[in-house]
Amino acid sequence: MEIDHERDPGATRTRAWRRYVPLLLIVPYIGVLWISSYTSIAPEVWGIPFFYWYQFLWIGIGAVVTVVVYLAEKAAPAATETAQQSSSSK
Amino acid sequence: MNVTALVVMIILFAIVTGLGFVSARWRRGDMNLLHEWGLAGGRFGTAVTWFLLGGDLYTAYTFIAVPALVFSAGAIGFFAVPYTIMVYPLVFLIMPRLWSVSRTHGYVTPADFVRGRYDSSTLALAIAISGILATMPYIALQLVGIQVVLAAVGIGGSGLLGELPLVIAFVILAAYTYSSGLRAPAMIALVKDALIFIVVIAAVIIIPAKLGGYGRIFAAVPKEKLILTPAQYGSYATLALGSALALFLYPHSITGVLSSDGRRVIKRNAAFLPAYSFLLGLIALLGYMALAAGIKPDPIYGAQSAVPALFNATFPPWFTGVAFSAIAIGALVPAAIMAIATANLFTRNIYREYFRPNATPHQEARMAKLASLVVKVGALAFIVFLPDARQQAINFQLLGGVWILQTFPTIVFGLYTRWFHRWALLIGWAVGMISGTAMAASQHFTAIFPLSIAGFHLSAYSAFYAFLANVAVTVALSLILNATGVARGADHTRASDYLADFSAQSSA
Repeated sequence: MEIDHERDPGATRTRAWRRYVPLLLIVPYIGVLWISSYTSIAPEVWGIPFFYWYQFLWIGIGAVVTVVVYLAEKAAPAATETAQQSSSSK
Repeated sequence: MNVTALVVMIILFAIVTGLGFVSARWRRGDMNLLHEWGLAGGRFGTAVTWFLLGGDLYTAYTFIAVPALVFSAGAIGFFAVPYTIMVYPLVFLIMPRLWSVSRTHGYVTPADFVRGRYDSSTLALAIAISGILATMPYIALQLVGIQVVLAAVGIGGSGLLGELPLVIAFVILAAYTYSSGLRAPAMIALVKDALIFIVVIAAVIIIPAKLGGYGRIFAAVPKEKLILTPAQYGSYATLALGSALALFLYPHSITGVLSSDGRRVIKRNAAFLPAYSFLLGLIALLGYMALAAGIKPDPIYGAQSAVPALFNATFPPWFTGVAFSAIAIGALVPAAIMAIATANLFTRNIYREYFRPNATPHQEARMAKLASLVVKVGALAFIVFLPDARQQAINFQLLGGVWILQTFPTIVFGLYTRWFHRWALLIGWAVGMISGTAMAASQHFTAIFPLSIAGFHLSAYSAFYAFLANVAVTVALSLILNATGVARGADHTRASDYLADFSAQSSA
């Protein structure tokens, strides 16, 4: 791992950035707990009030966020839990 | 009586029963060992875990209770959607840790973990009792779901004879759970989930077409029910958040997680399970479709009959049979897993801990099988002898949430830190249990408690208030007990246990 850092300083930057990727998991909480931002009828889509389709939308966003965090962990295990485990638990 | 629907139901039930018994041979293991019977050996991969957890978490609560609440109370019932949105990020972060430490030490139940982490069989007992207590009304709710469907098809009624169809269904369920353990509901979950997807997708296409589109459906809902009033924000947010924090503390959820064969399996499922959340949102909307279709609440089952009545009114009889089977099997699968999970708890953390410390693995497995029968008989007695409870079963389930949420500090905080003192956790748990039960009882076992302290008024889910009290007491007492040096007990786990990954060896 150390060798990688010396060869490619860009990788270090990427890794430091990836460290914070799991924080994305907070986003869906903000989306759905900020109730006053979405409890309205307009704008409607196909006759469905905003309150309903907006929350359906967040199901999708929540899933996408989880996939992103999962892929980030998989791609750069050194920055995340998955990798600490491979070094510490052997 | 809807004979066609009944025939379809009997055929599908027979198929599922056959699967239940055959499943004992699936990925064969020694059924005389608890972790084989109760966790299927912990060998389920991503796809099977997805079906199993989907079948496990989406219950009669989803198919009957949530649309019933939307039908009768409107927008507030939609809290189930943000609830399932918030639950999966939590699963993604927390459950791999519980899986790793449990696999390392051979823990079968969350109380096993608590015992190892805090060196306290008392705290483990508290966790086990909460789990068993919270699950009982949840199983009873599954039975109500089956009853509602049986009543809608025209069989079943009151008294022992009227309950006969339910009893027969339950005896068969008990028999294959006894012989096949967790493999039975895991295999049946495949059928259940397929049926549910077919029925719900058909329902949200066919029914709006008949009713004249979604615009017409929402127009039929009284304006004041269509969106939340500011006074409801607190209830909506805390019902969703409290339920999300509680869901994966239930013994049956943890059983589902521990039966998977790796951390990756759990993380992938956290990303894929929202597919069911989408379904849940659509099912919730069935409540409004029932309103628009002019369905009247049933005198016995109240709003809970809304969805079955809607299906009866709009589907051809054979498809009504498919839909009703989906609901009934959808209730049987979680009921089986719940019975297995509570049996695991009873056997590991009460029977072996207090009655038979030297129990052999075979005695342990036999005890769990017997306990799974007792749990089911208990839930059945609940329905047969307390017929009035079926109107309230939904509220009892929310009471289950009050109890199970009180195990959060011990289990979830415990997965990250040993800072909290075991006696502080125990007293905090007791404060949460007592205050939560008292709040719920004061509101006649409805979920929302109107709190007023020093001019501050907020109505919220009583589980959530009890949880805050629990955490406050736990933190304060931990500070005191840690400072005074009261014995903390030995920690049998190591930091690396929480990250251990065995999937490389076992899943290949």
